[in-house]
Amino acid sequence: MRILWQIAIIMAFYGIGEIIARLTHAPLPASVIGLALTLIALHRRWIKPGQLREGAHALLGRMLLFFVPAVPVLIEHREFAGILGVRLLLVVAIGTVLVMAVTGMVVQIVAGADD
Amino acid sequence: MIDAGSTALWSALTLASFAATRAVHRRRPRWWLMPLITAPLGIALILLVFHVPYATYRAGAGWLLWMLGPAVTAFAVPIYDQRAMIRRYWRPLLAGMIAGSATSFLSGWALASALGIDGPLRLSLLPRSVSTPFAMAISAEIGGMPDITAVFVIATGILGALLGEAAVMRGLPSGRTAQGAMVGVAAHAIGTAQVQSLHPRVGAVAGLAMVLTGLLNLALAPLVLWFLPT
Repeated sequence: MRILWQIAIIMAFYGIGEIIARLTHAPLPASVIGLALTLIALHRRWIKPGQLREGAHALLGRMLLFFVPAVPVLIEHREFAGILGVRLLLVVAIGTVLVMAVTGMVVQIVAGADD
Repeated sequence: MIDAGSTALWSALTLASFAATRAVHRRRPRWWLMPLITAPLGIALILLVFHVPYATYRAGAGWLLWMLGPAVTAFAVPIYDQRAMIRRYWRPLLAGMIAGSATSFLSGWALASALGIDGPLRLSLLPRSVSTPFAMAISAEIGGMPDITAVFVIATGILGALLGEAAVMRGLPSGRTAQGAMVGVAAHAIGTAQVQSLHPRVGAVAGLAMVLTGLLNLALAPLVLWFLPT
């Protein structure tokens, strides 16, 4: 029950984010506004991290499940089954290796011996 | 219109596929048995066999995808818990996020162009390194196809998670901050989930880098249209 209550509080922050995003037409997802509001509430000690931790852990631990319903859209895109799909995979694969190499090297160099 | 029966059916199918594939992956931890690969495959097969359009499935199970929003909000807690680490490493992290995001957009653009991919499909590839709520918003803003971007995001996440885990276990790069940033910037939430159990700081840095990179990309998205000819 406590976890559900904690998830409800996080959803409430998200909901306020959604309202602010709609009212102000801010170019930010509701989730980011909700995250900022939660950080402010924690910083100002309006809420203690212990009052959210288990709920946050429960949500974050299920993130992989939340991605699943996005993938079957591929059944509507038969054109990806052939050579186009291979080319798209190549872009994703080479691009990902490059991003990882650059990010890892830059952080390592700037952090230096400090790390 | 919300159809309760359809919601129950397609949500149950999704939850059951995920639970079953995760049980299989725990017994046989091969990369091609990752739940994020096998669960959607099973769902797709069922949709094809019973001639169910994706839109019907999405109307029933889409709330799970919506839950990624509150999940991103929930990152406030680990970020708050790690505030001392953030204060200490903000310089290298910021440098890595800017370099990594620029590499992500530019490599996506250059590789797609080299392979003859253009138009909305090329634009859909650009925000692939950030988590779905960010990526879909960016894709819509720059003229891509958000649904397709979500698939690239997941493919990037799976690949980055596997490569990232292998690199971290071999001590590449050597610093824990660099390891976490590498996974968070390149492979967002999926990579972050994969390295969570390897080392606490790697997991925390990855989660932070993932959220901040999403924000950074959102801020940079208008520049993309300005720089890259469409």
